[in-house]
Amino acid sequence: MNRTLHLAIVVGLVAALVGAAPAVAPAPIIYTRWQNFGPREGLPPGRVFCLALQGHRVWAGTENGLAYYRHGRWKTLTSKDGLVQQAVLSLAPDPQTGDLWIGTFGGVSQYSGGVFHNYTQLNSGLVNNVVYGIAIEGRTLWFATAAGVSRFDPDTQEWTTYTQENAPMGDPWGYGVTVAPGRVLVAMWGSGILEYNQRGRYWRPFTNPNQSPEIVLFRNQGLVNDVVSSVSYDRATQWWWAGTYFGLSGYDGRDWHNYLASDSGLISNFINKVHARGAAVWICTNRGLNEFEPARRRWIVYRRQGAGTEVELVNGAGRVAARRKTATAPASAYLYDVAFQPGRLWVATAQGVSLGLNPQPLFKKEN
Amino acid sequence: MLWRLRLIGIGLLLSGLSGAQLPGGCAPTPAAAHLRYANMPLAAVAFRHFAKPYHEWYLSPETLRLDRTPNQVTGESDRAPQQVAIGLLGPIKKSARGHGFGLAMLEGAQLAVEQANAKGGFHLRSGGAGIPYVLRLHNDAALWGSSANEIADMVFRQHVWAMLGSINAVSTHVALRVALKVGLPIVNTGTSDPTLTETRVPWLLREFPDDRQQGYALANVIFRRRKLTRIAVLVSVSRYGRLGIREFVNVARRAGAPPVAELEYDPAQTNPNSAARLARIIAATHPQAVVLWGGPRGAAVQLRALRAAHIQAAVFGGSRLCTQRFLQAAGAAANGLVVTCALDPTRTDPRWRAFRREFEQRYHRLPDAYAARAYDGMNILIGAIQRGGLSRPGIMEALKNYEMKGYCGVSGPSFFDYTLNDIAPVPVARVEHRQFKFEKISGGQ
Repeated sequence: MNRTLHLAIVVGLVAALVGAAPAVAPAPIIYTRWQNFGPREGLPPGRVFCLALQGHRVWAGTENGLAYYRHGRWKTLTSKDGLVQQAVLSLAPDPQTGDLWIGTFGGVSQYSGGVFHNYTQLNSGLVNNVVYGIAIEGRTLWFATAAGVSRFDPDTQEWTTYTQENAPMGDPWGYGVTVAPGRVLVAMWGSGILEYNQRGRYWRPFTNPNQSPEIVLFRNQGLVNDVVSSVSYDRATQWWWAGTYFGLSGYDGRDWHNYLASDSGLISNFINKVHARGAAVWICTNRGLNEFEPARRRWIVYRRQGAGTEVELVNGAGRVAARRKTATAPASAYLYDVAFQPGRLWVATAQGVSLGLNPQPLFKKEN
Repeated sequence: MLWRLRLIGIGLLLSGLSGAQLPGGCAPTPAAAHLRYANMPLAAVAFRHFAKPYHEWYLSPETLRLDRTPNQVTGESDRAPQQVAIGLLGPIKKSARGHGFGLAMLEGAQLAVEQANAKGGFHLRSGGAGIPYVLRLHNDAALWGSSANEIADMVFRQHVWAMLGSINAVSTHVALRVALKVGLPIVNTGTSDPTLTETRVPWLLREFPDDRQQGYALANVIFRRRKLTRIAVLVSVSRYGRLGIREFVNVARRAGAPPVAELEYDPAQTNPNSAARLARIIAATHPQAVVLWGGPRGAAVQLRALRAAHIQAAVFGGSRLCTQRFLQAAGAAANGLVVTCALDPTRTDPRWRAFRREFEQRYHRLPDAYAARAYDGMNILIGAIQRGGLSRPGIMEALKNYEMKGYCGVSGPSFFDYTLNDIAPVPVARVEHRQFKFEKISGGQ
């Protein structure tokens, strides 16, 4: 009885001590091996602008067609197959219908049941043929184009156009679009971010408050710059992220949080794409890839070095806490997009598609 | 006394406009130390009374980073091409708005291409016969982002190596975004929109004085030289009007002389009664100077109304009024007007005289600023193609070598900052007897 009591007390004390110990953040998971896909694997040569996942299928929008990955090989659909134009800038799978919506330099294609249905300035209400971004919200599609924002209801075939005539934008240059509950967020080139309130049917602009592109007046002044290349929203954290060519802006619903390469782990201020994913945001830049967790103030930097990758763990102040090297690297340091599958990270690069594999807690000790 | 102090203060603040920091002669000059973006006068520095900016852009060689990886397409690897295609986007059809500017741009560019071809065209590094340059012309209708479609056509169908254009700022912005995606070098010789080179997209060089530089030049004349402080502003309702006047108004406000009136006019409105109404409002503010910003036709209507209202104030304008078209439209009302210009055609240096003679022989008329700038821009581009080879990143890299350096063209000296924007001093002219008389001043010479 005594022994049992003593054991119980010891176990209880240990449990209490463990419970009182400070919580240790889980080590970040690092993709430690890269597999690259180019013309030899069936991918068209040149840049890959965007990626999309549809079940097990991986879609890649390239400058020479729409490619998909199956059984270790890439196949490409081109204008000869019915694609409206060869350079694919944006992709959006429709979870309800299984269709794939494709934005190109020459209009929009709807890939449905193995057939392309094409929408252009000349045969539809699409406001411009250059379609940089697509988002799907319920049964409604949103297109960010070179000359305005288009909304389309495929059921009624009704198009609505938003330009500076009916929305608070200085110029109508859409560059990206995403949806949030009850809202649509549009990245505008030169006009910041526009938020469309679905219920109220009105637009609200978020812009650089100092109106002087040559400066960031205060670190967290508001949106860091009005030339916004990409916008992303995460439902769990309810944060928005805006990628610009002048750094990264995050909005938590009340405050803005800005990050520059000079004051954080951001690898470059020139951001092509942001992708919010739970507690983290992934950032595709002209110099490499970042993962950033604002709650932990923790940056992961993937920087291509020769044939390998230099991976850094950077703290909130921009100080490198640890550095590791891996033997392989994405095909190019110039990155356009990312997409996630369990244990796999797909990256669209200027020289094909890369696949991050073998996720490991590489910085376990330093964390 | 207070008045004098205010004038002295404004004069000191505008001292940044001194041209001493810029290369004065027409020779490529190594980088000067520029403390402020765009050679900005102290008066124009935003928030300088309140806070030091957390971060400043455009002041380092890192401003534009050209990544060679996005485009490895070259034409020299396999067999020599038959032609070296260069795209030209501009309002070249008669139906296009700004057709006059577009035609001049085309002629200047065409002359440069013809002269380059007469010298043998493009020469491959591997040797062999020269390859002729050829222009692929695209009309800029400047409607619904149509320039994006034109650029896509240039890139994907015509496989141009680079392009020159456009004049419309919206079209050029749209083209720039396409250029970023596909990696296409652009030389712009006709857009004065300051924001064009403020995006950090590393695929464009501008050889034309932007409205920021023109605004600083006018501020120098108005505040520093003429010591005028009651300014009224009359602006065309257009993107050109809205953005063009912005830097001048910023300088005025920050120098302590905010405009006493800021009015807008509809450039399509030719009814003199409407212009007369605006003139009466301006007259009631008793300005010492009126700054008129818009295109030639609409501004001429406004200027005539200002004169008819017997407003004694000096009137100033931007480079779109430094044209024969404006002089014809404004008539005698133009006398006394002071404008910034993209070209001083009264220069007598051999380079300009030779170009004027050749242009006249070719087109049977004198070149204007848009022709001269396009000629220079096309020569810059052809030089970059020759140096960079048949590789779009190589061409852009050759263009990027102009950072913080000068170029001596027929339109006068240019100087490119870290954004590849021309920040050379801007010529200023005064209209006398319906002719432009050029002053030896500028963004502050």
